[in-house]
Amino acid sequence: MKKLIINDMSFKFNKQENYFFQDISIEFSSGAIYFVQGKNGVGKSTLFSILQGTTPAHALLTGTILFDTMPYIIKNNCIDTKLSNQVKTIVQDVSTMIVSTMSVEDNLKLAQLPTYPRLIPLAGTVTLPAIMHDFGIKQTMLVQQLSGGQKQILAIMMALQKPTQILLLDEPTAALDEKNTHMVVQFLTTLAKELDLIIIIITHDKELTATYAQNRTIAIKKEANETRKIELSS
Amino acid sequence: MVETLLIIIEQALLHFPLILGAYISISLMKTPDLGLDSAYVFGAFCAGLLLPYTQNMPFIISFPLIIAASLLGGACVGTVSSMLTQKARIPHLLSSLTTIGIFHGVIQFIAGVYLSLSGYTNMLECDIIPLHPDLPILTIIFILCTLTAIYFFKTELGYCLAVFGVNPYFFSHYKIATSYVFISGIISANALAGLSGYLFAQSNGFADINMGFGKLLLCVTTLILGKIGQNNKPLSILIPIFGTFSYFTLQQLLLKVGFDLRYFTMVQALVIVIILITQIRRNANLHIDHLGV
Repeated sequence: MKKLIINDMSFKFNKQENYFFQDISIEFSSGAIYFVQGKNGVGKSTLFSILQGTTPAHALLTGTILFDTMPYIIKNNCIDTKLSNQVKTIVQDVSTMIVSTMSVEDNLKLAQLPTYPRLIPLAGTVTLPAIMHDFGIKQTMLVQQLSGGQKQILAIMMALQKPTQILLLDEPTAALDEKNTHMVVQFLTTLAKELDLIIIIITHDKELTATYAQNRTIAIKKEANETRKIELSS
Repeated sequence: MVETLLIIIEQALLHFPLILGAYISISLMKTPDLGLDSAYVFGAFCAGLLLPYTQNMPFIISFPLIIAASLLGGACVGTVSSMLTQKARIPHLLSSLTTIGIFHGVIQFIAGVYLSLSGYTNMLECDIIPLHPDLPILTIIFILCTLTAIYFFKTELGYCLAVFGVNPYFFSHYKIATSYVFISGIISANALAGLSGYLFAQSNGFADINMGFGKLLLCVTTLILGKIGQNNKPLSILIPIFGTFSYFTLQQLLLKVGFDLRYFTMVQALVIVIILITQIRRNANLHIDHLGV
């Protein structure tokens, strides 16, 4: 089991402002799903941007980060790219992450492309992970034929085509009905265990958290001095 | 009849690289690439200016040099317009309009408004078909362009150009350089337009600053004609091929029935309107992209 340990992390958007997060310490274990909750504007997305290494240039980030016992330094107020490159994010609107006119197979191939696509034929074959078959997704299906939940699953699998240790999802079930929500969370639970991933989900769905969180809910609250407090339920 | 057929083939082959370029930028990338107009003219002038210096060279060296000059000329226009879009963050419609203005001045500064090619060896001429001596070489260029395009559309970059037209936000999620994809696509499209400009200028014996007028409407009409019966297949080389030959067949048919070609631009506009209205009536949910292609 791998652990992501954040110790005494403090963050502010610029040097003149108060701390947004101050002396935060939190620990995540692989093979599990964590649910982040909090009101709009409380800092859920800011926490994600810190983990992704996309904090603004004028921000101030301090603290220590350990992943799988390895320390990662904070450079230019961002998490070391060696770690942030292994963090993948699934945005709320997954339609921007997939190509609707192409097949599932082509989408998976496209997600493997390097930063600068080359003048060589697109990768010949892609083996569809068995887990996708279990959720009714076939290699030759057009993305247009997939349900909302299946599109989420495809976007997740596409993000995992490059080396990933930590998967962040921003309200993945917001636009889904009960059946599709159940399907996506079941998929993520299996994925976290099979691939030994740390999965962190932002959600406003209290029912979802009550059903699946199993004491892994992260609550972000605003203090009187505007600084945010993070609590992991146990 | 045979003569009409040969004219159709000749005209189609002269314009095919331009249509292929328009297919890449307008149809696949869904970008309003007005700069194709300028690339067509600048490619013709670049090749035309190099022509006198290649007269004493063997054909095997001079011809590739001239072709390269026309491709580079077109690519220059594509580089300027796409860099303005990606690096200066100007919308492509505006950046390509600005580029047209820039190159209108550049061409006049380096070559004037007219460049005669008649005093030099016609690189396209070959005596196999006496009345249409440029057909054999044009056919070879057409085959080379088609084979290159078939390969290109199967490559990583080729696929990315089609993806850009459907979902330009796709690349940022997978750490693929969007600006690289966009700039490469526009440069390729404009380079092809430059080649077409040279072929047209060489065939007519001159390059003129206004020779690009109306070419964009020709491209759009051709691509719309080409899309008929293709079922919106992504990445089909048949679209520009079918479109180009249909367009010039239509033009020759109108000439045969005594139509005055002065009004042909109006016919093109009407063809676009009729096809689009018919398609929308057939399928109310049809999504017509901007420029209808």
